[in-house]
Amino acid sequence: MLAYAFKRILTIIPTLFAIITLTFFLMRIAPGGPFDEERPLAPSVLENIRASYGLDKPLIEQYFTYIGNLLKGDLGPSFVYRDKQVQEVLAEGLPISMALGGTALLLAVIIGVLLGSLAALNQNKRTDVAIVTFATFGITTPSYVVAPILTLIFALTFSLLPATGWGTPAQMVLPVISLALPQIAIVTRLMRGSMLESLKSDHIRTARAYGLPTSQVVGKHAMRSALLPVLSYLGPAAAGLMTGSIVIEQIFNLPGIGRYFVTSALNRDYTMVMGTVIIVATLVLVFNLIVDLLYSVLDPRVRYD
Amino acid sequence: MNLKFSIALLFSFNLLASTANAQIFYRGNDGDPETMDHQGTSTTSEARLMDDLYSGLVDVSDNAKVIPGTAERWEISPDGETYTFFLRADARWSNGDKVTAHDFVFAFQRLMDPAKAAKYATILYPIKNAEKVNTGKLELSELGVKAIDETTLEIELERATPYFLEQLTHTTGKPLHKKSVLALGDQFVKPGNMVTNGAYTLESYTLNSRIVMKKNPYFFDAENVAIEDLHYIPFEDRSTCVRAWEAGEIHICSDLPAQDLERLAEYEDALQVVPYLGTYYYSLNVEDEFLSDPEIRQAMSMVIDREFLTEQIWPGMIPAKSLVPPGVNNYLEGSPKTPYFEMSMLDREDAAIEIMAKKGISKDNPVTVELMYNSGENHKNTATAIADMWSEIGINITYKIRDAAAHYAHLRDLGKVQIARAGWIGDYSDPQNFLFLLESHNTGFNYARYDNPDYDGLMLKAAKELDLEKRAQILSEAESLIMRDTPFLPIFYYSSFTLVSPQLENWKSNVLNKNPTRFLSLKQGGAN
Repeated sequence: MLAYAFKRILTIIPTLFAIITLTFFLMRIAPGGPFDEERPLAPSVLENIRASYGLDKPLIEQYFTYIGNLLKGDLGPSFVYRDKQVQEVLAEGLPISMALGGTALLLAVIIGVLLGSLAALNQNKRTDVAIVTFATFGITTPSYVVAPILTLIFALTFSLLPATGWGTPAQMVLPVISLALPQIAIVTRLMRGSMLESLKSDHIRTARAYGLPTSQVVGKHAMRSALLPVLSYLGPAAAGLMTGSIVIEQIFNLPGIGRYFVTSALNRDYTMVMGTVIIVATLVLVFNLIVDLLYSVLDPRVRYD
Repeated sequence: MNLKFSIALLFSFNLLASTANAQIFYRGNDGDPETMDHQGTSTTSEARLMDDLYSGLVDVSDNAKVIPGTAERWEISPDGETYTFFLRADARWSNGDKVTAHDFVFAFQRLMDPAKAAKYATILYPIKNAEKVNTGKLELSELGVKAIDETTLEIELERATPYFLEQLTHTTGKPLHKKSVLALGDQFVKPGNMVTNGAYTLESYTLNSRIVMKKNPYFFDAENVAIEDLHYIPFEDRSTCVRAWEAGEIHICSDLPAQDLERLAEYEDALQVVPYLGTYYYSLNVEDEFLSDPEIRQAMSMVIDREFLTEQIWPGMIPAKSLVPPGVNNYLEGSPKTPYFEMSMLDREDAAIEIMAKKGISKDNPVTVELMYNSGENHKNTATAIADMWSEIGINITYKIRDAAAHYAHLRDLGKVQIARAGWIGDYSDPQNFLFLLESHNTGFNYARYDNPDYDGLMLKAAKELDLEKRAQILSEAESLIMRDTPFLPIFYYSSFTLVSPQLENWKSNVLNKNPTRFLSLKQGGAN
């Protein structure tokens, strides 16, 4: 398996490189640049600024400069936060996004797996109907609806929790719930479906025939194969959650990095666009690798030799 | 009254409970600055920070009038071309160093240094040789700013500029602590490094979270600064800012979503809606074959029902009858009156239909024109409403929509354009700061490609006129030319919207939307 993991890591590098190259040139095709605003700059000033960022050089030269710096771990200066390097901006925000996303992910897995299994074991009974209703509600209600409603209830009406900001545990509650809710719902539905299927499979029937206690049949044998679809979903979902959500960040005024995915593109903050793409691409690739490796742990049929 | 009481109560619980010892002013802001180097800033939200951190030669008062800053007085030569500023003997930097005339010379030279690429260097182009230095044609030392001695600064201008003091209140007019900037390079803006001479010093800065400032004990007027701790909280999303204010987490919300204004009216005096120095307009390309006819352009302006637009789409904004917004300084009588604005909307529409009929254009025989705007719900609604009004006079509109960066790049590069949406917020309070947009040589801003030698002549004449009353008349004459020719079609004047906590005292809303923290104070709350 180690050899396999090593081989996979080697394929990550060219994939990343292709993504970086593609993004670099695609971004430059978009009309307008980082210094085009409602109040235009005088042509002479614009020239000065473009030169100071090296934007006056041929595109291909800029590309090689960028790649050269990237290899040294330098993502370049942000065009919008001019006192900071892109890696500084991301280093400030990423831990916050990861704390938020990680907590939401953990909640989603624990609650989702529990609820999903519970529903499957009680198929078509009242518990099942209640859980499926909850899950449907969770999937269909977007967080930009849930978040302001939670704020209205818990912050504005009852003053139990803060409405905005980051730093105290209390400030985490509403954003984590808003972010986790749809994920809990998705995991619940996935888990319910796969658990139902798993309970009907031959090896579970065999286990039951041997007279194993239900707790062991479900908890050990059925759970293992039922987790596989959830796991496939969690790979990309984790990368998405960990890199923050612009909706949640804006509604709760959190200093994560989710906002940059949208604002850096709109502001033509070239270096920041590259930075965010690199982070997401890396996380997606890494999480997919982890998922694939976990597969072999959970499913004896999968072997990497 | 009840409501006010409950807000106050909320504030006492949420804010003061957590800050039992010191009172902190939580000031919501529209966003984080691009940079803490004031020479790289350009927006109102950045100017707020810089007005608290630095004191220029002149500053703004609690209602945004020009007052002495680090210079306690100044003399202007009879020809208006030389300003001599006398700095306060007690002016000090936050590290205790004296603020000298050399710090100002250093700052102005750095501003004009082409290598520093300061975005708003153009504002101080009235300074002698500024443009030539900024474009690399002259050495930095040729800039018309000289230190006569430690506390005397002389600024020579290209020509008399009656609004020069107003321009100096802009962030570009602020000094820099020469020693630390030279020693630290671009790191001088970091907390711990930054040396300031204003009412506050920079304590910490967490991106997208907060900028913490503390009162500067060395500030020349420190004894009159009431608020000791100041936290700027940036809000990207205006609705979030309102929720934070309603939850009592901030004292000020500096920009409000227009659709919430009606609901927020319940907060009575806490909601401040005041005219702002800015105009929203459409630019009509006078080089375009169809739009080259000034009569057609005027008919297009006449038929726009601006009251409808401000009531339905832009609540709180003011229908525009001129390019220069009301309330601007140095414009004694204000903008000239344009006759058709005195007519009723129905009469205006009839008159416009008549003008178009003479050109052979009517509802049954329409022409098609392209309207370009940057994406945004309200811009879209405005464009749709105006297209509907124009359809009455035989103009069919097609749309070209881009995001802001692409839209303004297209305008800047003088791309193909017929009608384009734009807006202008004044950098300083003088009519010239609006009227210069249409000078023929102003290629970066004159989206309409308006080229009228009479207009340029009047602008030049006004620039040379030292008597403010006469100058105002000349500028008014110039503005009546552009209202007649209609290269820009003003739609509404901006307003600023602010939510001000009842706990905050001495907040004076003004046309520049500037309220330096040094003049504000917080009421002692019950929890203390």
